[in-house]
Amino acid sequence: MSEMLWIILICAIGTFLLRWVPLWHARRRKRGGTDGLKGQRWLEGVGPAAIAALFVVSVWGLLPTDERESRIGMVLLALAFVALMRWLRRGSVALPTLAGSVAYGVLSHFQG
Amino acid sequence: MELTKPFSRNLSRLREERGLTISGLSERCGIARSALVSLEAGVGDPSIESLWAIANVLDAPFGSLLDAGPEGVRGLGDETAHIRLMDRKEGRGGETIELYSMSLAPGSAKESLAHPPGVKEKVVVINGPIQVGDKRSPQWLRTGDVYAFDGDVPHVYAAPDGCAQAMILLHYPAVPGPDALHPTTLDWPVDAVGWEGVRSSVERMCIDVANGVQSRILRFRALPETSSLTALKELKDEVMHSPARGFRWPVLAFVETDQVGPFLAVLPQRYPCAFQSTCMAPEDAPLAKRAMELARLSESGLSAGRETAIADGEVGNGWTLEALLCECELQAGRLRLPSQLQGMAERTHSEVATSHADQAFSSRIQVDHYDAYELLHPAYARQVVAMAQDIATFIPEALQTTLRTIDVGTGPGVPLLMLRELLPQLRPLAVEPDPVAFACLEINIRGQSGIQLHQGGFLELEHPEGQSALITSVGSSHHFNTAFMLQKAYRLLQPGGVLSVADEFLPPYHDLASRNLALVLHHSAYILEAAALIERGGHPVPSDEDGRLYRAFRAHLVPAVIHAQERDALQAERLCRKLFSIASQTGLDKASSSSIGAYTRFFWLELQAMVAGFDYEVERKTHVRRFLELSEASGFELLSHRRIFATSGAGDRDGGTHVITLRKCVSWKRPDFHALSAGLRSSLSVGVGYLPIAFSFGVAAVQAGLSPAVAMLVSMVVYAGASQFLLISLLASGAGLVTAVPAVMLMNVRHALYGPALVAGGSHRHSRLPSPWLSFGLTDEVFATAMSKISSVPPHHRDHWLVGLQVGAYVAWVAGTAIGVMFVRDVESWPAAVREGLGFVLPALFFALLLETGLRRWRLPVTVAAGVSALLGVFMASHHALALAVLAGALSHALFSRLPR
Repeated sequence: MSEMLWIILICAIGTFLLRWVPLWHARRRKRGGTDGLKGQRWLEGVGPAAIAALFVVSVWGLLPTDERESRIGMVLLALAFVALMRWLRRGSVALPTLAGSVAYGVLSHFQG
Repeated sequence: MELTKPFSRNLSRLREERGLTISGLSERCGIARSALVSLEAGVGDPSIESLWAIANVLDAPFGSLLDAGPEGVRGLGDETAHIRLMDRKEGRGGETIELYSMSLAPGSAKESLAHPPGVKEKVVVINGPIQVGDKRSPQWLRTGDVYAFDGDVPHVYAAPDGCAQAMILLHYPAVPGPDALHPTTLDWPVDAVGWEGVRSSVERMCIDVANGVQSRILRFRALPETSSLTALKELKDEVMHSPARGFRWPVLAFVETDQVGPFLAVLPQRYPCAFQSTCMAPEDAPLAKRAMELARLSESGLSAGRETAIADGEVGNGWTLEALLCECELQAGRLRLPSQLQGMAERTHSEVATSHADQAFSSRIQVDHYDAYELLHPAYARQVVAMAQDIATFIPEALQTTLRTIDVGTGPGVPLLMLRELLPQLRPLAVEPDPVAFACLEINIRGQSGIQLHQGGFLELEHPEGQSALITSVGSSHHFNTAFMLQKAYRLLQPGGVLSVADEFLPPYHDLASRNLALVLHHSAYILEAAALIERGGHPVPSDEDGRLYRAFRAHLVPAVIHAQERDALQAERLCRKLFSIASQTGLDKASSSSIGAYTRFFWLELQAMVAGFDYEVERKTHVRRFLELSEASGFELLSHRRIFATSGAGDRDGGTHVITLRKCVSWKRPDFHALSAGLRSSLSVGVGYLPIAFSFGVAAVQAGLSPAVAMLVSMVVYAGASQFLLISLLASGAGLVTAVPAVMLMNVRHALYGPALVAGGSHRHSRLPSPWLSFGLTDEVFATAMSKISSVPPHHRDHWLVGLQVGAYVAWVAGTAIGVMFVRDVESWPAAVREGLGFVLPALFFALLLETGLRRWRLPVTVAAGVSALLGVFMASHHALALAVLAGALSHALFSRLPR
């Protein structure tokens, strides 16, 4: 097997282990009832913090330095549209997401 | 009595050696602080009994207080008795022997409280006759007689016929018993200073019990001819309302008199805190919302603002709210009976058959009373609210669509009616074998549609097996053979079906004696809590037969509980049986004429259950650990367990009313298609976001010179978004294993946080799938979607839902890569607006998820993570900024966020 395939395989196994081992360990701890309150609270915060950070980093990727000023308005408008759609269709994530990306495409078309 | 200087000096020295302040000594021995200050100053007129109380608390022989050295005067006394220390020797093993001479005036008697455990007394009569020994059976001794007895019980020296003299030998053991420091008997106070001493002792008892001591009791000796309890009650009320009005003691206090004499006892009030979560669709069901609110209020007796919360809100006339409101009102010291009770109590059961079968429920429990007065049982409605909450959580469809269920041992049916008020969609088959209970049930459900009745035993019930989605049982599981009942329920339930049991469970026991102790502690707790709350409200006890019986309950059960806590099973059971005998001769058959009479009838029911438990008839209560063990062995898994009312112990599995919800285990080979397809539907937004990115990846990989097969392989096995782009650029540039692998791993290291966060979020508490199934597809987007939506998925569906979510996202990713690889040449010709729109899918997805998660609740971690990622994004690679921002956000939440309500 070529080195390239080895690299792909090891990266695949490594990524899987990064996802699996902590989950397996946390599950064992929870079953054994050894979860501390503080640890619990810290893990509670991971989800919302990850979503917020992913959001900022993904928006950051849309704003290259040279076009930042022209695009920032478009981004804000499209996000407002997402919020509006979500308010109209409470509980749905797919529809606001699609609507937001369509809005962004349309805005970018008119922005030229 | 004349005090000597050595006495004052000894008192002060011994007290300081024990590390006690004067106030501390006062609290322990029940002698006023001011009186102790005087004694230490060498003035005062204490009785011999008071000095004994001080010596006991100081854990010192009586003689050590009097000891003035070889030359000093070592006697004390008054006009009725004189005692003089003749000699005192300490043995090598630590034991002490003291020799006293004692003279008694004609007609005088000295009562002595119990000395520390193990103390022996020997009397040699010099001039008799004299009456000596255990207070309950003193002995007549003549001149020259010798008599030995245990000094650790209340005892007496008396000379009724003339002057008497004796030598007394006291033998103290080397190690005093643990109770020596906490005397339980004081002199009946005769003046203000005496009352001050009693008060400081009572305050001490309240603090001890408030902080975790299981019980304290104070008795009195040297009672006046007509001792009045009123003064003692006033003292207790004064202590309970101090230091200022508005504070509440977390204790139950009783003033009562029994055969031994008046007593003041303090027991702990327990707070199980079972209603912290409010997950039962409150917007859709105002009644359920109000029930949850009242249930929470009724278990938070110390919280401020209860009054307004109780008064607020609609109550209506339902069973549940009426019972809950009465409980809340009683906590606040107000007596209010449920409106339904009056009609039920007056109902004549002429149409009700009677049963004399030995094993029938009605053979040991008075069912027509049970029907009405169980409404007053503490936590009666609360257990149903908890059960409804569990059903709504684990079978959410029960809120929307009709659900056929089986209710086991329905009895007269009030809990079932409550459950139907909270979950009107239930269509129960009520199964009840007892003819009297069944007749009451028929009356109670008149006018109700949707309830089917079946008179017969649950174990014998002929019903299609493996088809029921829900079986409920309120207060009846202990009337069955528990193991058989669980096995029968398992047979009737469909795979994944739910069994919800609300019932009383005893504290853990291991033999018959400890079971009887557990029965006394358990049943008395329900009675005594209600009685103490009534007493706290200052409600007058009527002087009729009901009132007398009500007082008899307090007078017997408080000492019985204290005996039970001292492991004296015989004495505890004897008191309860005696009370049973008194109550069974009283005319409780007629309806009550007062609120206290109604409560007395509830007490009577509870006592019947206790005594039936002693005899193991009808009542076959087990303890929670054993119940859970049996349920697991029968093939159930635990979904939820809560102690709704605590009768003993601080542990969640100790005695009390418990609600236990179990699920019939399903082999994981049988996939939960419903949950899988729900997960697939939830993956739609992630899939739509993934398609363009995976598409770009396919394009980039081929453009970098990799073969389409390698590009597909990377997407299929590595499956890690951004790091795949890094990997192909490294592979294209010819990077080796040592360079490529660490770079990719470092970029993906944040994924290590996701698994534990999901587990903490409650996804895998009831796992049925092996963990690798749940972790392979745990990408950023899947994790973000799971965290924002998982709380709306029923816990037992969460594993399969998560797998569905991951499969949907994975298919989209692999398909997107395939499309990119195939249409690599066409991309440039696509309109710019389409490409821009596709590029905005992920920010839009994350923003929608952020709104879904709830910005207000999570504002601190969200703000910190967003701020840190924006700031660090300027200086470093975005994946590093991302990992650090997540850490910072989570840490800020752990340290500074307030606990959610």
